[in-house]
Amino acid sequence: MWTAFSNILIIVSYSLLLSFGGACSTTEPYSRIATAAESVLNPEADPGVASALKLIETMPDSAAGYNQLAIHLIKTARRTGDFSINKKAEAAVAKALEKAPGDITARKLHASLQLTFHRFDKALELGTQLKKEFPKDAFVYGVLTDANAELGNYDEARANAQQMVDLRPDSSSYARVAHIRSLFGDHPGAVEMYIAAARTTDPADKEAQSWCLLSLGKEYFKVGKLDLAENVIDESLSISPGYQLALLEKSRIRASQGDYDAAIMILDNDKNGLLTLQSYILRGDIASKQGRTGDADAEYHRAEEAALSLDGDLHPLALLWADHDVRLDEALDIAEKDFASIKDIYAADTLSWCLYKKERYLEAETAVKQALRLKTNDAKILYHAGMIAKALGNKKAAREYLQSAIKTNPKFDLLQAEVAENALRSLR
Amino acid sequence: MTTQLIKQIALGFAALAILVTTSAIPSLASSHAEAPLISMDRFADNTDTYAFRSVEAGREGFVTLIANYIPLQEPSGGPQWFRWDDSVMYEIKIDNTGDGKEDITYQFRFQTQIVNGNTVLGQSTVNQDGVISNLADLDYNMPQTYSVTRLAPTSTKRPRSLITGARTPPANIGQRVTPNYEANLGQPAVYDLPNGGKVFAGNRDEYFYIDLGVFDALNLRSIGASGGIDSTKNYNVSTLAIEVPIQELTRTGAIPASSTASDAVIGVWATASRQSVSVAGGNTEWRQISRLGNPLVNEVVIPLGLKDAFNTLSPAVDGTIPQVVQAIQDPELARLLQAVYGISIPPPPRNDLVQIFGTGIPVNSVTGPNYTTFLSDGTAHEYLRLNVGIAPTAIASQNRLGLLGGDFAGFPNGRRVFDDITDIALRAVAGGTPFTPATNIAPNNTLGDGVSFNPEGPLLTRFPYLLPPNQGNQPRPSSTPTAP
Repeated sequence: MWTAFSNILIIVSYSLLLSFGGACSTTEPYSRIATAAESVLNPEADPGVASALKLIETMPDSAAGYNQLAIHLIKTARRTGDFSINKKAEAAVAKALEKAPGDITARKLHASLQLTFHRFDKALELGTQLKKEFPKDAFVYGVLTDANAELGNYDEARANAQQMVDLRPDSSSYARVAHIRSLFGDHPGAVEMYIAAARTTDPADKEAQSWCLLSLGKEYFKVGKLDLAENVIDESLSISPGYQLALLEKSRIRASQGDYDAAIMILDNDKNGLLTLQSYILRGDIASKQGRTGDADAEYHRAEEAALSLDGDLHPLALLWADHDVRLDEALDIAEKDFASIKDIYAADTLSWCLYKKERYLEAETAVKQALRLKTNDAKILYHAGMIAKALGNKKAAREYLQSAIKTNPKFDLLQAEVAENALRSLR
Repeated sequence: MTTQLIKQIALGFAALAILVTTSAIPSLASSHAEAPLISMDRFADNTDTYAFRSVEAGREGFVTLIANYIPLQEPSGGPQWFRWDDSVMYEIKIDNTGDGKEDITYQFRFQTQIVNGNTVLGQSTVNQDGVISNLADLDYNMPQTYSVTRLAPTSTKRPRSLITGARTPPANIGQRVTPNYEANLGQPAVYDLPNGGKVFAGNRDEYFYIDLGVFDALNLRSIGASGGIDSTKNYNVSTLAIEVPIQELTRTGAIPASSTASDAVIGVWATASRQSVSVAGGNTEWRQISRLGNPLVNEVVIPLGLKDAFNTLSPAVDGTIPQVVQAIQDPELARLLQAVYGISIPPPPRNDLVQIFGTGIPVNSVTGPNYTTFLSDGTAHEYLRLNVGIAPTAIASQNRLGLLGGDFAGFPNGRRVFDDITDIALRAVAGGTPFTPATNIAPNNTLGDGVSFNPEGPLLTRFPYLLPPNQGNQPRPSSTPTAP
């Protein structure tokens, strides 16, 4: 059992994070990341930076050079998986807006960067302003789609995605249509659009191609099509070897098939040392499956540190604690705060799971109904719904939800899928 | 090290310092990986549009329209190479009334076949002897066929199919697979049309020559006629070329009586469209996602933040979009030229540029009584304007600077492949033309990018004029300075 991570440093960091909304620990991996981010501003090593700086130098009172720099940095962040580079991009956009407050490029970049930093309300506000002025700009509807989807405004998100694809059917809009279709449980429709997005991506934009293929792979994984998922994720990795997010999903698929050594080896292939919260959790889960309890605890501890170093998104941490029946009060606190500001199905799901763990079953049922409202093909939500129904004594509903979860993807989670199967067996 | 260089480096580091300082908190951003918003659609990306009176012997009664797509293709980009996208609708459009709406459209649709799907090779494989010796050869493993339809959206005429089942040539893969490329595959891919014209669709050499230092804050090796580097040397492009009788394009359906006749000027632009989809499921309408009329407008006149929106617009509404009008009346490039070279430029609003790009040049004292490219209903519509009443200049006598070189058959009267658009555009934006006499002085009227011809060789003297594509199986030569 995972119990060894009560750490005063974490509590302090967590408090600071809640108080200041963005402070971070300065653990070694993150200082290394910061150093890596600084290096992307080296004009000698990066012609993109050099070109932008030259433009800034030539036209110091114009936003153009700063915009060019920001775009280059955003693309670099995506390509390398080092999202801390987006801080530099944000600084460049701030300079652009200082030079020319009305500059449309800077304003669009400003709005889109809010999404990256999970400031969805701000993204929605800025996107809405832009839409009033530029109602024919597909980019703006992309910002609005993402912001509304993250905030749980699904009807608005669906309308925005439609407006975006009607204005400009391309890789960016197809990907958003795919995401909305996936949320609304239209798996074949989502697959169709992710394929279209991958096919229409610029072959020179390796990251975008890899992202589309990765998203397709994740869509296949969601419904348990593991072979198809692995094939397209391999394709993603063949285009961008070392692509961190794809390595994680590849590892998850290997682990779900019991190939733990390969799964660990794949995670070890992350040469950039930019392991994410999710990859620490996966390492912990693999160690648990292998009976390496001490290693699992250490990995979960690293996951906590990573989560607390992030700007914003703490709901994976709440799920982690709830899954492992530890620090449930703090988990519920995170989930409630999250749900108070974001009404998306995943916030509702996390809240339901934390409430369930606190044995507040009726409230959990209310929350999980919110999570199920789009009929999303998500085995984890269905599993949570089943466990809540079971706790409430509603055996028929529990059986149906748990059967649906396992039918959707019997390998949906390395540890929890087994719990779901045991619960279903106990209901027969 | 020059003082100027030291100053540049110091300024560069100052800018760098600002950014590092403002973002010094080593906070790790979240791993939220939203779908890309800054993306390109290369297969639906127009690169250049050309429109000129045919210069091939015996073809004086025709106009050649060329639309290039899919930029900067590496000739060695196998095994798929660069094919037309079956899901894109490629179109060349003509406005002959001045309202910005297309009166005639030539619509190209492609279909890819696969001869043998059980091969890791793509466009070619060994189904017979491994050599693609003609367009129907079975070793051409992924042939594309296409159709061309002529539409007349503003008339009651029904769409007319000009050709179906025409084949595109494969890429110029290499001496072993595609020997004698032009004789075996390139020229046979030129088809005759029922209206007496011709059509071609396939890879060609990217003839457009430019030193892309232009886009690096005008960081040019030379601002004269030579000394630059042709950045597009040895790259290929995908070309749609169609030759049609003059009278098929004019508003009267006749050959204009003179260069100043009311039906003499046509507007030309090319587009690419994809089908939208319903989020709820199914395909819906075609939506334009790329557009190109005048050269370099989308690249250097329209601001970055407006490019995507501009690409979706019809020229019919250009004049109603204040940002588009402002971008032409007060282009950022002009201010950049001023900052980099310390030259005086004409103050905004730049009505000289509006005439070139938006309305056409009316008859005036500078160009004389027989020259005009004016075609407008009173508002600006950005597209090429070709006066089909002006006779073409023989190939040997063409001037790369078009009108600025005294050659009335060149840009901005349509655009020939031969025209040195970069030099012309730099001079026009700097006000180095007779239309802005106060600034028609050196260096404004001598500006250039240092590249004044295509180093791969002169154009063909026959349709489709563009040179065969560069061969894939050869070492990629480094770009070398072009000879003066």
